[in-house]
Amino acid sequence: MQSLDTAFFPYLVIPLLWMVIALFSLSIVALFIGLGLHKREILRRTRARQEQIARFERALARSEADRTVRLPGVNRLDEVVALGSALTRKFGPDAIASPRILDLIRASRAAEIALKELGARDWARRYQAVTAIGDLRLPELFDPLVEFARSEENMRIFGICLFSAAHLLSKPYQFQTLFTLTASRPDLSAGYDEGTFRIAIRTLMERGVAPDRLSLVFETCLEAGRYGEQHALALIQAMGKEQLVNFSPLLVEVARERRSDRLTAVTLRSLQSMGRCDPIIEENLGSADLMLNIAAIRSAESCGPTIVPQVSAQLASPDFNVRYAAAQTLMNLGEAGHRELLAREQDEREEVRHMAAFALLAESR
Amino acid sequence: MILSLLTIANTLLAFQVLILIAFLIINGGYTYITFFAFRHLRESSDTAPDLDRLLALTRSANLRPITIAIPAYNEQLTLVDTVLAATQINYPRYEIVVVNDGSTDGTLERLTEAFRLVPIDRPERREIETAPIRGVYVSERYPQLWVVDKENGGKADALNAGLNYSRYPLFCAIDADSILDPDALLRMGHQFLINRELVAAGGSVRVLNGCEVVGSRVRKIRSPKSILANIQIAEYLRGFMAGRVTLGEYGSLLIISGAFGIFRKDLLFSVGGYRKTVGEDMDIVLRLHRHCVDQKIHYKVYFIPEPVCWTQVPGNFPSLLRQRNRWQRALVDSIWYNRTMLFNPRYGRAGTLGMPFFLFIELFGPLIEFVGYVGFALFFIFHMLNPVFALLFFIISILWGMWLNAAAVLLDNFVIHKYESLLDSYRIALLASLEYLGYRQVLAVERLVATFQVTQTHWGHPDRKTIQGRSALPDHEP
Repeated sequence: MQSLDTAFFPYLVIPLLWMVIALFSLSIVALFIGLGLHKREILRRTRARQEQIARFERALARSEADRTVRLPGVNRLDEVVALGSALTRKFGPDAIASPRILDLIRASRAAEIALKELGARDWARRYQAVTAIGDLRLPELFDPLVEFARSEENMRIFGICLFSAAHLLSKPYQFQTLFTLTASRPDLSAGYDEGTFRIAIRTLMERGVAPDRLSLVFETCLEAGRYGEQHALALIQAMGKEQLVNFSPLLVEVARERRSDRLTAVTLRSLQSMGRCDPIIEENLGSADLMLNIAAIRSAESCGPTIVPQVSAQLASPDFNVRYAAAQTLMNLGEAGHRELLAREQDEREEVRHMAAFALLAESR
Repeated sequence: MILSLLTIANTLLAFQVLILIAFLIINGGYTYITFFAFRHLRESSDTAPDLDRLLALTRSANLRPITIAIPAYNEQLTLVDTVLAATQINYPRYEIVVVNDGSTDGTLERLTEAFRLVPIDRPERREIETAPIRGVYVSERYPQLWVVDKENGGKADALNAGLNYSRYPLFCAIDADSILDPDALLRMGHQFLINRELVAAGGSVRVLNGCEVVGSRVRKIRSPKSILANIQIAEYLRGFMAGRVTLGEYGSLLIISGAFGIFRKDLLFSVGGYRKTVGEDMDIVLRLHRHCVDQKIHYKVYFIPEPVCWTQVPGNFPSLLRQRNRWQRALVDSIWYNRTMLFNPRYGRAGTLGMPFFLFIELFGPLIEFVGYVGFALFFIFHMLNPVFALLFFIISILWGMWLNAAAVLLDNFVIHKYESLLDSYRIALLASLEYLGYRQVLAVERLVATFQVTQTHWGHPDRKTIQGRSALPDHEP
């Protein structure tokens, strides 16, 4: 009876199997050797990187006292990355190095090498180059980086481009360039936009740009119809979190003009971050739009005890999240809010009593 | 007579050829997956942000808060360590909701004692029906820790209760015998920050057995001494580092381990929460795929290798068999329930690549393997197979398996949480090759049996051990 080994090329099957066995055996031995070599290589690279970073850190520390000190030679991308890491360790992730240090970086070949690597085919190298450019903090690298980002399709690299570019801003108009760049990618999350804008605002402040000089730029960015709403929302959030209180009237004005529930809700959250009270908060308390109503309730804590009755009315809302927000806001409104919650513990409606009791109990912990 | 004998002979020959083809497709498939994952992990290993940079990136950005839900049924031996590890997570805003699913041992008492739980009348947003809630507790030690005590309803029911009580927009489900790495949420949250379309993401689940655990943190990653555990490590490395990396990159990731996954909560509510089945983890991902396609939502489901959750694997064979039996039943049930996706181009690669992969390689795999073993033995007994050929073929199958294991261990080198000692890596690769000498065959039979037990809904609870080397709760107040 025919079997597999005799059916096809009977003289070849057994030698073929032996060849496959030999191939696999060799391959396994190679894998085991490769495993050992790779582990050693990782160890070597890690040590080398630590040494490089330490060398740059020492040079940076010495350069403060001795003006003749120069940075160790920078000839490869890994050295640029190490220099960037040393700068980040020394000055923190968001701080700007002193002009003396920036000159030292300019005198090295770091910027030139990093820019050249932006054209690498290997995306990991491009990623490292973009990261290093952000770490170098040289403002003149902003334009080439933005130019590169416009044509970069890899989302991970594009994302890191935004963060790096946000660290390089030095002029107000560049903020709009960055804003336009984020707006070119609708698939970017709003949280990421917001992070980019916050870093950009901080960088500009640190480089001595007065907030007032940004007003024209912000107005343009928030102009209706110019960019997608998501990016405007992210900017409004960022302005709130960075405490740009002078711009709160602008934000309220934009919210009133646009009549978008979403934008108004974000404006209210921004006012809450700034700790500002504005009539727009009270106007939106009890709004039919849940998100807007909750935002108004939460931002009401900036308005002090006078707003307690309006917030307390929201405890009777049929929506759980509205009741929850109202109870928390009352807790944050100090003594008047606490008294109101105590009174609401006797409310005839069970859900109101329940929420008031929970808020008071959570606080008492 | 002669004609019928010839027909039988040809049929048997065709059968042998079929087995050979199936063997080549399955192993060839895994080999391709390994090569693909190798390329991908090698590239991305240079770009995995280190922790300082990640913190810098995420400090300014609006990281979405996360609810960590830990369903627990009779987990008194491990749950305190799991929860303690979760309290030490490095993430701006998160809460932990432990759901005691009607445990009959001292689970709730252990938690109460360890975390100083006090009852609280916390309101519940009851969007999904669950078994009755007996009480809600909050920790005096860790204000972000809540415990929901409910009547037994199964893991899916417990997760749904966690969903009802969760406050945050991202929902992370972990197992009660697992230790979440302190940076795991940060690395996951970062992905949700970059990818607006990300609706669900799974992290690596790695084997805790053998590792040095201090203060509910994994300090040293080591391989265990047990052969059984080492074989399972190789399986996990193959499954996560090779399989899920590749399926994820191909947009056909259909399973996010119940031990560690993060989901957009609004979408979990939209699909009606977890379905009561033994395989709620695969089922929820399949239903999310279906929901997003049906509702025309642009979405992505990713596997991210860097965030890690450490879990105990079964230390004995009966426990392992129960686990694999449950996994197979879960697979059959999930594929059957979501069968409209199978080969359906409407669902993209999830339907045309992921579903057939799970159907033919994972679901039918044990059947093909079993038929292969039996056929091989019968052909051999009835002298229908040249003994030399049989022996060489058997050696090749073992060597191919060894190759896959060694390659999986090599893949481990490209991630942050790797086995540091070369000896450990060699031990895993070598001991795992023993899986072909009995382990694999027994598991194939168990999985085959399980395929026909799909109607059974028992969980097959594994034997738990305390997490080794654990330290007591910290004395200081947080």
